[in-house]
Amino acid sequence: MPLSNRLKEHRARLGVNQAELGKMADVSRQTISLIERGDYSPSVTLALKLAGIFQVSVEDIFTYYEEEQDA
Amino acid sequence: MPRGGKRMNSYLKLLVTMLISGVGGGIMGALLVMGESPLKLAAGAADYGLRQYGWLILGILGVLYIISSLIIISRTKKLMAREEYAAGDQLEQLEEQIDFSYDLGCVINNIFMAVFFSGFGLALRAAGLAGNWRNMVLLICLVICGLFVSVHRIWLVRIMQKRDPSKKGDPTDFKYNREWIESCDEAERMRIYKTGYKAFAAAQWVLILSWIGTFLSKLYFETGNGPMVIVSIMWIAQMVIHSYYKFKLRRSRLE
Repeated sequence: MPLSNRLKEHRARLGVNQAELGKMADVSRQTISLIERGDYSPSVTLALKLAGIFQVSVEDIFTYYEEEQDA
Repeated sequence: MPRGGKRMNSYLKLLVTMLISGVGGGIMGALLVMGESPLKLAAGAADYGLRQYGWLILGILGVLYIISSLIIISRTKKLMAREEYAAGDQLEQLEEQIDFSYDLGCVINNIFMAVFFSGFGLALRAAGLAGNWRNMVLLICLVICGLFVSVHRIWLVRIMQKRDPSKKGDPTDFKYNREWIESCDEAERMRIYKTGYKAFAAAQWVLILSWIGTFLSKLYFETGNGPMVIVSIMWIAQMVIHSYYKFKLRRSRLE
């Protein structure tokens, strides 16, 4: 998946567990876990919500990188 | 390779597939003709065995289902009790285990329900419905297992709603599926939709193979048009319902 994230870092800085962060962002603990593992790319709405919770920009949490393609 | 060339290869592939299917079908047909008697004997024996011992098979399946469900329920409760005292990575691991236990419980519940009711229908002897002791045993199994399946399902939903109060819906209500999915977040919905689509794609193959099976059964075992009609209705209904929603969702909000 071409989206890496530092969600776990920011969550640790805020001192909340996955369930608590999920409640703050109105999503389930499983969704937070999926995002942290890189198994799910959040929607724009959710990414903005998370950025708002951590008081950072979306780019501080999520980084998009182009996957290498065969010529 | 030029685009025109790619399209030509698809037509060629289609022709080759039809040829191979035709040859394969011919060989299978010849084998069926040669093996008609043993096949009929085997089918007759299986049918007799199911009607004689179906009550025992379903009884054993029912007991296994109840025992395995109780074990999973007990394990889930123990894990949830430990949740209160866990923190950090240990808490996350525990929550993953609880989610897995919950999903396993749902899978066992769904599969057993389908298997049990199908087996009940196949094993019930139509002749002498009331006076046959095997039928009585089957009916008792049906009542006990049916009750347990329903109670188990309600328990699973209540457990999830206790852990996540945002989850809505009463499993005894007709509106349950709609209310449940509306209370799911984006990742949960994605998972439900992906699972649903994969099940739809697999069901297409199952229906095609079932159609072939009932067609051959009509030819060789003289089962008549009944089974073919039922499978055909299911296949057509699936296509029509899928097409209906495909058009309906063209201009709808997808979130």
